[in-house]
Amino acid sequence: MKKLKHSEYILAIKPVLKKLLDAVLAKYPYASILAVDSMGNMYSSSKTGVSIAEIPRYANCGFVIKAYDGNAYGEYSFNDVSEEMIPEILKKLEEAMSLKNVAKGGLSLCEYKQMTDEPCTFSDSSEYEIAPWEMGDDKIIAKLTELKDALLATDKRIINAAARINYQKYTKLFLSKNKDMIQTNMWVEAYLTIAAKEGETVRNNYYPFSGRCGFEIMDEMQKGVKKASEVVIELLSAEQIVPGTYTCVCNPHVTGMIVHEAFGHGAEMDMFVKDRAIAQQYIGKRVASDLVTMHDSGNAVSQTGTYFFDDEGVLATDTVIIDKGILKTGMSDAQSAMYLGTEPTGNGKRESYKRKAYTRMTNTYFEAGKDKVEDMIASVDYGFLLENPSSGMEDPKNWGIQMMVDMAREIKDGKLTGKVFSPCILSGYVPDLLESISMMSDTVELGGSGACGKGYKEFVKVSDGGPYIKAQIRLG
Amino acid sequence: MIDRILKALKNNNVSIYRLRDTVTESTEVFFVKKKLDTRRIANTETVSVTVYREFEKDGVKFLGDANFSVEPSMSEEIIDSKIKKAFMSAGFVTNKAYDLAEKLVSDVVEVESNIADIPVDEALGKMVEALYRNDTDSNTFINSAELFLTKHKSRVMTGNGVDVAWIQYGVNGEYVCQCKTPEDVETYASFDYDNLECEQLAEKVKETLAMTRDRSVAVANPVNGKADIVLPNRYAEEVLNYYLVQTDAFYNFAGYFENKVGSFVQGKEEEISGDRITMDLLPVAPFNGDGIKMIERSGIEKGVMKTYQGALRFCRYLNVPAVGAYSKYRIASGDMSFEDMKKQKGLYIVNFSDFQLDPVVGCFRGEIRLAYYNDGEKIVPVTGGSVNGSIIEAQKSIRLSKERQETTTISGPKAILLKDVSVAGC
Repeated sequence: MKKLKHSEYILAIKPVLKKLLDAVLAKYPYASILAVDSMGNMYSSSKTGVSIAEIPRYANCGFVIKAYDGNAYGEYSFNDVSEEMIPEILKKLEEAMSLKNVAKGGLSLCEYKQMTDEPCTFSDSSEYEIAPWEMGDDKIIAKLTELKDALLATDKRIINAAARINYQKYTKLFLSKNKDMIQTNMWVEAYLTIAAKEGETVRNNYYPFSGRCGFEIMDEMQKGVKKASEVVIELLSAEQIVPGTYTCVCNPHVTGMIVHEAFGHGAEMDMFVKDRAIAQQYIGKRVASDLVTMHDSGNAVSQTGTYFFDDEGVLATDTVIIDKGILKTGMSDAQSAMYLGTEPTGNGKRESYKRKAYTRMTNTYFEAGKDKVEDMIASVDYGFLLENPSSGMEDPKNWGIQMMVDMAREIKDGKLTGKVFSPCILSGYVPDLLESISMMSDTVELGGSGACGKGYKEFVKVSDGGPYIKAQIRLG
Repeated sequence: MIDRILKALKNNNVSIYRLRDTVTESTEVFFVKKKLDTRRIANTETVSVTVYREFEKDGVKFLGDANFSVEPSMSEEIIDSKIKKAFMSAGFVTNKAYDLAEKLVSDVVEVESNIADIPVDEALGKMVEALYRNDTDSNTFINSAELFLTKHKSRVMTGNGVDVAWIQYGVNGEYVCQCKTPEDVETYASFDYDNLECEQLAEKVKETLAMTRDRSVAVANPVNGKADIVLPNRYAEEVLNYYLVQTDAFYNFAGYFENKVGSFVQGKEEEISGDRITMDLLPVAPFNGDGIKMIERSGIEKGVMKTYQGALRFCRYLNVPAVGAYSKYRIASGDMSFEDMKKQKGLYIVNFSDFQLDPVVGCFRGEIRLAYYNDGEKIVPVTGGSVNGSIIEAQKSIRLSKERQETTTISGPKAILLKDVSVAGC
């Protein structure tokens, strides 16, 4: 394994940023600067063409200053800096701070304390085996084309197939009066996507891979070809499910989405600040079966949500959100923690340097249980094995569930019948679902493909997962 | 920055390229209840550079491309190395050769907006006032809100002689309304305007507050099985997006659809008992990212496709005019009034937790946060459960309202009526 190197640009510009920070601190009692240099590329080979492209969301380089004026916080994001530009940058920051004047006519200003600024010096980076820039674009495209051709060759009903891999390598430097922290990380996500058509019926399927690693993950992609094709062909004959509440076994991807959408978002403590999360009233109370222990951890597992410190200079932690069914705490960014009088948990994340920090998840998962998957399926008289989650939406205020799942495999008398239903929507009340969990498998799997939004925007990288779970779930 | 990039491209003998320069100024305020929590300004400039490379392999001509972005602080050496790397990468991109956009030169076009007329803080102040104008009830109020005022300067240049530029303003944001009693509930809403639409925003907030009050007293959704549903505003738009995708060159080139200009794209013509879709394609900017002039066009007329739209490469492969990819459209109204739709037995669904249509599969799905259930005798607010339908089936009898909605992405019917949709109650 090799360690990533920090961005040369960030290291070179650091003295200028320190001067800028000093200039800001001369005017404001607290200030920090986050500098980001990030590269992110997408490689794909499909029936319709080949692509090597930068991903705008993941490839950017810039800075954000956060300042405290004695009452509240303001920010200025920019992507051009030099020593000569410091007065101009200070002027723009002042403009941002003066926006407090829009709070009039019955509106007022939030009052915050000054951010604590515990001394911290930090430097580390993640490891990889094969970097994309070492592998070479020709070899990457050749491998993806081989996978795409293998997908297309599996069945004559396949109309399109693609093999795709994305990565982001970023260096983040956090500076404040007492902090000087730098980290470099890389994550990779890959997909096999496939579409099949029979008559007028078209179905899609995807098979994801992800990790905090390098392009060594491409070795795993071959394993997904057969499964991705089999599933999309099965989906061509899928039926519409009869709405009802069923005994379901969820695979780790579906478990992950339940963990993330149904409960994770509701434990983001900036929602507590706004009185938008019902979880706040349930701290210390039962919210799930005693089989359930849930973590949000930026440092205890290695996946796409793993980092050394967050975008507010707080070291990553392993937070136990639910312990044996009892809600223990939420996760928080530094500003929300200060408002609530709690300890920050290292969950302050920005979509990019251009955007505000919010409380966001890192790697969120249920711990393993003791059951075997085959025993779980065998225990179901009638129900479904749920696979292929496609999307979901949080409801922290009312704990409603909305999740889209593209595959429900029928189970009858403890056996899979081969009959499949799609698409399905999971709905219901979060504690009902979590309290109904009666079995959990003995291994945990996490996945970090895709991106997590706060509502409909602010997309960041996270991962989620857990074991197979057995629960009562409303399907429609 | 453009000049430095052009010079570096010339030094590397790269003559086929596309530059997209975007200068963004964003002024942002974030509120919690009636308090300003955070204020921000974000000023950035980024040039996205696409480098093309012509090459031949086994007698087939290809046009490969790779792209990268340039930030103002990048040195000449970094720009030079990025060009070299992209040019090499483009040589591995085996896309069959196609023609890029033709030469087009234009003066800077400033898209008309009243946001340009006044200082930023004043403009922001007006929208904040509109946002909170109807927030007067201590039981039902704005829980939190975010407001973004933006100015984008865009310029597209290519090696083919395209050089066009335009300036656009916008104001967008989101807010959450909360009703404390009898049930503590909330409703999320968002807005996006080209102008300072203060009256529209104030009215929208008023409607959201009323909707949230109704959710607070809603009962569990009793509907199980097939029901007629009325979808208003953005949910109607989500369903109608299906027809924009029907005209998309990519999906037709890839074989998802086999639509042709002149073919009926609303299922089987003989099965249509409801309204036929007429859709015009509307520009959202004077030019697109390839430097193609965007103008209003007929997309579908009474169910018959008139124009392919979409990415340049796939239009070229289909050998149809490359008119650009459209994201806004106008759908002609039907003759049923919105009030008559709501009088039908079934569910009038005003709020989902999320509502999505998969344009390839044709399914639409969502969990119901608030609906009004008309059982034929009375109308009650209900919550919970979900809908799971297929536009392929529902388009046969779709009804479009007489009344209109106008947003930055659609000019179309305010609501649609879909018959016999699968509903899972609580």
